[in-house]
Amino acid sequence: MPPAKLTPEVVVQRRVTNCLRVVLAVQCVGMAARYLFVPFEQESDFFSTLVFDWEWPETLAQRYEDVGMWAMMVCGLALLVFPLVERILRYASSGPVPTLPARLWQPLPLLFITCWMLTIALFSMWRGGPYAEWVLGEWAARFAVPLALLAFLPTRAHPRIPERRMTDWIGILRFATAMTFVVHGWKALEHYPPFMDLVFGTFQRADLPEPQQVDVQAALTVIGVLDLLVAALIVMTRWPGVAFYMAAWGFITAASRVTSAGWNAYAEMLLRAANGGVPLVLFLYWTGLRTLERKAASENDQANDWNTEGYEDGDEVHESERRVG
Amino acid sequence: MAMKFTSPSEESAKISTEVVCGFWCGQIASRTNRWMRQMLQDTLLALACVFACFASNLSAQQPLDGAKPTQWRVIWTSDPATTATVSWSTAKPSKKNVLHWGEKESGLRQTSTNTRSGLHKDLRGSFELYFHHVRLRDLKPGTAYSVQMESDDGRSPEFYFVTAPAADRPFSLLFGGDSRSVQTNRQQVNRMIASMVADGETTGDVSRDILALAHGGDYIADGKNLAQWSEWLSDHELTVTPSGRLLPLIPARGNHDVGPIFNEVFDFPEDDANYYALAIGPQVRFVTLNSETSIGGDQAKWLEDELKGSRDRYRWLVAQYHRPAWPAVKSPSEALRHWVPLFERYYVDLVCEADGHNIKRTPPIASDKVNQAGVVYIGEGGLGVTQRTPKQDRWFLQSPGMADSGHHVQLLTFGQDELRYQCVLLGGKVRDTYSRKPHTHPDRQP
Repeated sequence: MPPAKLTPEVVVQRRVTNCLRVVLAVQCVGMAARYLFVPFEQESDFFSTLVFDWEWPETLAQRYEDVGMWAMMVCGLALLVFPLVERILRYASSGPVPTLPARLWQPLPLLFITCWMLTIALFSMWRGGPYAEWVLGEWAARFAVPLALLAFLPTRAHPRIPERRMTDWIGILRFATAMTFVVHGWKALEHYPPFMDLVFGTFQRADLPEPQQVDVQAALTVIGVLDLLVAALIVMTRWPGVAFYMAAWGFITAASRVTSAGWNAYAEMLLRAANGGVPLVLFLYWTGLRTLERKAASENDQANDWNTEGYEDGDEVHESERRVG
Repeated sequence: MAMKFTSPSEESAKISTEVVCGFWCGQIASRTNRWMRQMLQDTLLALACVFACFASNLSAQQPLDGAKPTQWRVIWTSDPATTATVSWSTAKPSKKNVLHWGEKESGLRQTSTNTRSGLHKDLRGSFELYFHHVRLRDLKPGTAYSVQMESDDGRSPEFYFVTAPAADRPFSLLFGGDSRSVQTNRQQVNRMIASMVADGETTGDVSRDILALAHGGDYIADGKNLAQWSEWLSDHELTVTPSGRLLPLIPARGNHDVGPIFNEVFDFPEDDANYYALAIGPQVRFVTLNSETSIGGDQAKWLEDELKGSRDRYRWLVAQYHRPAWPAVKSPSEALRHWVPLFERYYVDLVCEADGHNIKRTPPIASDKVNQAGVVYIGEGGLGVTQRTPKQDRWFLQSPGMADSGHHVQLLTFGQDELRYQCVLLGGKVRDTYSRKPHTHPDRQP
C-alpha cells in the first residue's frame, strides 16, 4: 500500500534525516575500513595508547579496536538499511508490516557510534601530536551527525520532529560545520604539512608539473581565510549558497585523499563524509524551507488554506509543524 | 549431524533442525563465553601492567642539581669532521656557562664562552630546565677532544668525543629509534650502547670504532612535555663509556617530538626544518630527513639535489627519517611517493626508518619489486619503546628480508668494499646481519 501523502514540512525533515543517515553510514564504513580493510591498515590512537602508553598486550588492544570498529560499521549500516527496508516493505505490502519502532532500537547504535568516536578523539587528544588539542573541534561535524539523528528520533509524544527541536539542531549542525571549517582553516593558514602533501601528491599523480612550495603555501593561506569566512557566515546567516559551497569544498577535500594517494585511500575519503555531508544537510533544509515559503506565499495569494490540503488519513501533523513555512 | 537432516520424517527433521541449531547456538555461546573470559583475563593482566608501569615511573630519579652541569651530549648537525655542538643542562639559571676543551692529548687548553643558553619551553607544566650549547668549529678531523662543561654550581666530569675522520677508513655508526615510553628499557639499551662503544674502542679493529648514534626520532612520548625530555636527556648520559667517551647524536624528528623543545635540545634554529646531510668521512654521506613536515615540495627538491650531488662523490649513501615508506606495521608514509623514487634513482644504499616499534630489513627494493640494485630499508625503532608484532605477510618483509620484534640497536659498519649491517638485541645477541657491495651502476663513477 503506498504511503499516505506527506506534508511538505515532513518531506523536508525526511530529506534531512535521510541525508544524515547516508552520511553516517558512509562515515562509519570509512572509519572502520581505515582500521580493518585497507591494504596497509592503520591503528587508532585508542590502540596506540593501550599498547604503548599503558602496555596492554598487543593482541588484546587489537581485539578491542577491531570489535569497536566492526560494531561501529554495523551500527552505521543498520541505521541506514533497516529504515530503508522497512519503508520498502511498507510500500510493497498490502497489510501492516510488523516493525520495531525506531525509538526503541536506534538510540543504542547512535549512542555507541558517538561514544566510540569520542573515545578515539579523546585518546588522540590525550596522546598529543600536531593539533591534537583541536581534534574535538575538527571532528565536530562527525559527532553532530549521530547526535542530530538521535535528537530527530520520533517519540510517543512527538511522532514527527517538533519544529523547535528541528531548528535547534539545525543550529547545532551549523555550529558543528563552522567548528570543523575553523580548525581546517586554521591548519591551512599554518600551512599544515599534510595539506601541502595532498596538493603535491595530486599533481604528481596527475602527471602535472609540481607546483612550488611557496605557491602551495599561498594557496593554503587563501583557502584558510575562505574557510574561516564561510565558518562565520554559516553561523551568522542562512544563505543556502554558503552551505552549498561548504558542502562542495568538504567533499572536494575529502576526495583529495584519493586524488593524492589513489584508491587505496578510499577509507580516508569516506570517513570525512560529514565534512561535506553536514553542510549538504543544511543546504537541503534551507532550500526546502524556501520552496515551502514560496509555495505558501503563492497559495495564500489564491486565498486557499494550503495547510489542510496536503494531509490525508493517518498522517498526524502537529500545529507547530504547520508553522515551519 | 548432517545425517539428521536426511531423516524421511518431517517431525524428526524438525527435531534434528532444532538439535543442530541448539548445537551451534551452544557452540557460539561457549566460544563467546570463552572469548569474553579471555578478554577479561587479558584486561586484568593489562591493568596490572599499567599499575606496575606507573609504580616504576614514580621511582625514576632526576639527576639535576641546581646550576651544576648535567645531561651532557654532543650533537652532529653539520660537518662532523670539523664541527660539533657540545650541550648540557642545568636545573637553575646560571650566569657562567662555559666549555673547557682541547685535544685529548694536550688537555683542556681552551675555553669557549659563546654559549647559547635559554630556558626550555614547557608546554605541559612548569618543569624548569635550562639548555646550554657551545658550537665548536675548526676542529681537526679524526681527533679526540676533551670537554668539560662549567656552570655556576661547578664543573662536569671531563669527557671526550672523536670527530669524523678525513681519511677513507672503515668505521661504524649506530642507528636506532623510538626510545620513548618505557624508561627502564631505554636505560638498558643505553647501557648496551655504551658497552658497544667501549668494546669498539678497545678491540683495536678500527672498523668497529663507533662514531655516532643516529636517532630516528620519537625520543619521548609527548614532545611538548619537558619533564619527559629531561628524563630522556638524563638517560642519554648512560651512553657515555666508562672511559668518558661521549657518543655524538645525529637527530631526526619523530611524530611524537612535536613542539619547540626538540630544536632547543638539539641546537637547531627555532624554525628549522630539521633536514640536513653530513659527510662522515670522505666516503659516507648520511642524510637526515624530516617526515613530520611536508615530505614533497621543498624537502623533496632538496633531497633530489642532495642525492644528485652526492652519488658520484661518496661510496655510501644512507638516509634516516622517522615514518617508514615500507612499514612492518601501519601504513606507508608519504615518503613512499616522494622520497623512494629518488632513493631508487640515485642508488641509495641503505635507508633507516623508525616508528613501527619492531625489527625489519627489507630485501633490496626498486620499482616495488625485489631488485639487487635496489634500496634496503631497515628499522623500525627499538631503543626502549614497547615492541610490536610485525605483519609478516607483507611481501617486502619476507625472505630474503626479515621482520621480528625486540629491543635493539642497529650497527652499520662502512668499509671500502662492504657495508655491513647487524641488528643487535638487548643482551648482545645479533638477530640479523646483511651486507652489500658498493653500487657499480654504469651511470655513475665509483
